[in-house]
Amino acid sequence: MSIPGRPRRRVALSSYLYLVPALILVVGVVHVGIVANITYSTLDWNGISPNGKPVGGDNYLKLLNDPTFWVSLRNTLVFAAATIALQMVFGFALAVLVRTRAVLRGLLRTLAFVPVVLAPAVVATSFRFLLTPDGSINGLLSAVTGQTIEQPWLADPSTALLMIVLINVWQYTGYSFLIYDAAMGQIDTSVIEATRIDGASTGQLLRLVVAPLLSGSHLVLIVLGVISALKTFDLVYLTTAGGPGTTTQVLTGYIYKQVIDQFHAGYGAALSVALVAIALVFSVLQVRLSSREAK
Amino acid sequence: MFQHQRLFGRAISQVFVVIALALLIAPLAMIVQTSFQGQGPENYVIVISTTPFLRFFLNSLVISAVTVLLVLVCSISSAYAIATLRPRGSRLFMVLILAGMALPGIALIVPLFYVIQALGLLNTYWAVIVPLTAISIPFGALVATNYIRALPVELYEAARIDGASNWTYFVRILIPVARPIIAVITIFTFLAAWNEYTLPLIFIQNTDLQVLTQVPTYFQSQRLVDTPKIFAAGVLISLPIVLAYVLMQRLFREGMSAGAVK
Amino acid sequence: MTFRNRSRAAVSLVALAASAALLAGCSGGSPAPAEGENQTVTWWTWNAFNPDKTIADFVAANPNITIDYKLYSYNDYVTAIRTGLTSNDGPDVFQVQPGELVTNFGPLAVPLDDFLAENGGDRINPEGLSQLQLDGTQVALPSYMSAAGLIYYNASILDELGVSVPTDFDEWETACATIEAAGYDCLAHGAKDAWVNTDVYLALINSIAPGEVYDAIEGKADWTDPAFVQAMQSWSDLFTSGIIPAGATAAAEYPDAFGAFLEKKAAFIALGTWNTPGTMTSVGIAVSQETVTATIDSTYLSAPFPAPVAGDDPTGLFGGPDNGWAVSAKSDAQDAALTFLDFLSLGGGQEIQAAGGNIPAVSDVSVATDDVVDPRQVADIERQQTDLGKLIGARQIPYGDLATALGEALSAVAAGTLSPADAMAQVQAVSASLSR
Repeated sequence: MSIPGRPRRRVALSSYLYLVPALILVVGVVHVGIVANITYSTLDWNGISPNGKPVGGDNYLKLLNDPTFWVSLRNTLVFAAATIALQMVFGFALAVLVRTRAVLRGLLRTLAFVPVVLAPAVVATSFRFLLTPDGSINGLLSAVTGQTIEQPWLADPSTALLMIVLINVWQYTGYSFLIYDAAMGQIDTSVIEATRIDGASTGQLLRLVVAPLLSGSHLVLIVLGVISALKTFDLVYLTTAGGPGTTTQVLTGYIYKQVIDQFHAGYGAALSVALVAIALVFSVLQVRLSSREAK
Repeated sequence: MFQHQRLFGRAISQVFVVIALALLIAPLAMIVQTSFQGQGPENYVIVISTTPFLRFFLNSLVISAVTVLLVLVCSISSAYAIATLRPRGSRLFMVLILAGMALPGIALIVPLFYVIQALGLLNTYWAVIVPLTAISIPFGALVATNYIRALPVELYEAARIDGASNWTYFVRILIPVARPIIAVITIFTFLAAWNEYTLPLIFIQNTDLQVLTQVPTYFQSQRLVDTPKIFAAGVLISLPIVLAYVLMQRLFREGMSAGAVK
Repeated sequence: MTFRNRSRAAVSLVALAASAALLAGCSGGSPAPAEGENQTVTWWTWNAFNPDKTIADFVAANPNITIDYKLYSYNDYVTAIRTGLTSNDGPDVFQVQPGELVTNFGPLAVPLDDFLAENGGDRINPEGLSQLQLDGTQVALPSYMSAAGLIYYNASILDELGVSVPTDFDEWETACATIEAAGYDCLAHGAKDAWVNTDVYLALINSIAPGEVYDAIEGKADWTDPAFVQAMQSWSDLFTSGIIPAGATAAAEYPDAFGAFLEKKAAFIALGTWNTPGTMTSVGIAVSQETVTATIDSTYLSAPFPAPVAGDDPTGLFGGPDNGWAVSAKSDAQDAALTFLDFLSLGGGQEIQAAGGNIPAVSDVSVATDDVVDPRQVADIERQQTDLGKLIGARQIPYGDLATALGEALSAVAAGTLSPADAMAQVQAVSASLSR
């Protein structure tokens, strides 16, 4: 991490003081929390009584054999892959569209980002009601198709996870759009002109010139997408709470359910340790990526 | 960039723009429409008058502002140490701070119950501010470090030669120069704090201290769900932040994209 | 700038961060009010019956006590109560229900055995007390009694179609065919909710093999025994034979299924005595009316849940205290809280429950029948109170993991993703692994 041309200086002790505020908070909450999780994860404990019963590695054995853990992990990964792919495609498309001469493109640029600033709790609660069998979305579909549609989108095991993905895509495509918009703005227009003169179609131009030039943005969106997928909680908790059955359960939701609803704080801590381990991998990725971008 | 289109291309892109707008607007329109069902505009009056709405608004504001301030102080100062002052071991400290980057707050829920209680923070603003700040610092420190590293070395060298202390440089030169990245961190952190749902639900029971995201819960109990008022509450919670975005669009856009690209 | 200034400036950064902890220390907690002064009792619930009148009557009798009432949704309640019971700003009086809430939050409640002995606790229905005990200690007192094992039916629909109340599944299927031909759903059911699925399962097994399920819960019988598999098969039949309409797996009992029942979209609903006020009394129906858009103009009655096997007796009622009230050990107003508890479970609160059509927890107060909307409901309500005196067992399964396993098994069978035999094998596996 030492950069050529910047020799390490002999520095006063006071240099360390600038690090202290951040370290107090991060170490005090995050690091102490992770260590505490590891301790709790060796207990059979309801999280309320003063002490739990030591059970060694039993919680981790249980975790390996717990189908719901694996379903939650799978759902988290499916959610991550689907939201990232869709948000990148739609975000890219929007960034192209605002560069055409289409009418209302300015409005599109403004509106695309509005859902991003809304609280996930508000978005999730709203969609939970809009997607009920007699909700507004079925109402709209019925009006458009002329048939009575009463599909319970969020309660049907075959559509529930898809709906959660789509709600997330609706809310956060604006963010992908923004990243691509900023990056496209930096592309040298002479490259585009040259390709045009060579007779390339718009499709070829996008696929062969623009998309490769944005590889940095793709990577950023993938890593940020995985991180935000790992953190997703409000959206699932307030729409399906992981149901029907466990078809939409994600890791954060399963931890919450074990700790709060089922009084298994020890097991919840073991699940948390697993989640922290996964998150750590992506922390490293983002730091690497971001530091490289900055150079 | 794509303005030299033939008629066919123009028509296609126009169709897509309209579809995209419809998909974006439809849910927003349904939310607003539902919020006027039943008692109509009265829903909004009831939401504001039957809940401690203004109190919650102020609480959200206080929590968000303090969180932003703390995250800024911690991120910028630690980034300054890591990127410019570089005392021995600063690399280790950076790793320590950044390790929490991708960490979901829920993963800390069990320890937080204990820590918050042990520190006597239960039912104070700090019960939300402290964990929120701690998990927001890694991102802030990362983008601030990258930003400061990208500044010309001469900026610091020249200031030092002119006799400025590290502190003077930090306050008089670095902070003004870092304004763009301060905007980035402010917007990111403010959004996260203003929209936070779980931490206040768990750690603040005192009605005087609760926040805006809790307002909809006043209209749903086990058997009674007053959908229009829940939607009206949702609209009221969202309005300030949507307004802020529309008024400061440029800042929001530049801030949010700078956060990822640089 | 001198070195002294510089380091002081850097130190101020640290001070800013540290001030978080200091400020927090100062602002935490509030002083307890002195004896004899006005006291405030904080009352947390997810489901209180007629809270406005309860508070008004109590405050009229105890003018020096203020009630700070807080209503949560159930999910928010279980989240908030956990920290609430360990903080100074939490509730003084809080709500529990038999089962896991008593098991886990009971230790954080004031023991009530002495209080009961001094305040005539023997007036309370013994079943109402026993399900709110933890290791022999009374941790909560019942709000009112309730039991499941019933169907409520829309008498207006049945009369209109000339259908009589079914007593077994064969009659029920025939009735449903007529009802659906007339454009109504038959049994409104919110299969998304494990608790109502469990109620129905208990109604089935308590008809097929009365009482045996309570042995299985205690680990003294196997969930894979034929009677249990048969009950699960009957549960599956409800979905395949057209008694429960398609799409029920997606619905919640409240408000979806109950709303459909109130709005005359469905003829039956499998609920318990706690629905009597909302379906049979004019005051209760006025409250129900706020939850639905169509005008409620039907007459509702109840009957035993039909027997899955023709010729068997239908299930007896199973239940106990619908929920109970406990006093937080952290309460700084325990005397006032106990005064309020006394009012809720032994005093005027019981009159309010009885007046509204809920079965009181104290045996010397009778449920009122003067507010019914149809004279046939008088006998119905009186029968409910009599039957509540001879309960077959409890509604809740006190072991959380077992309750969850049964809930998941019922959900999977309803969705058609698991066979009844396999589902019961899963339940048995969890049951065998429990340390009771």
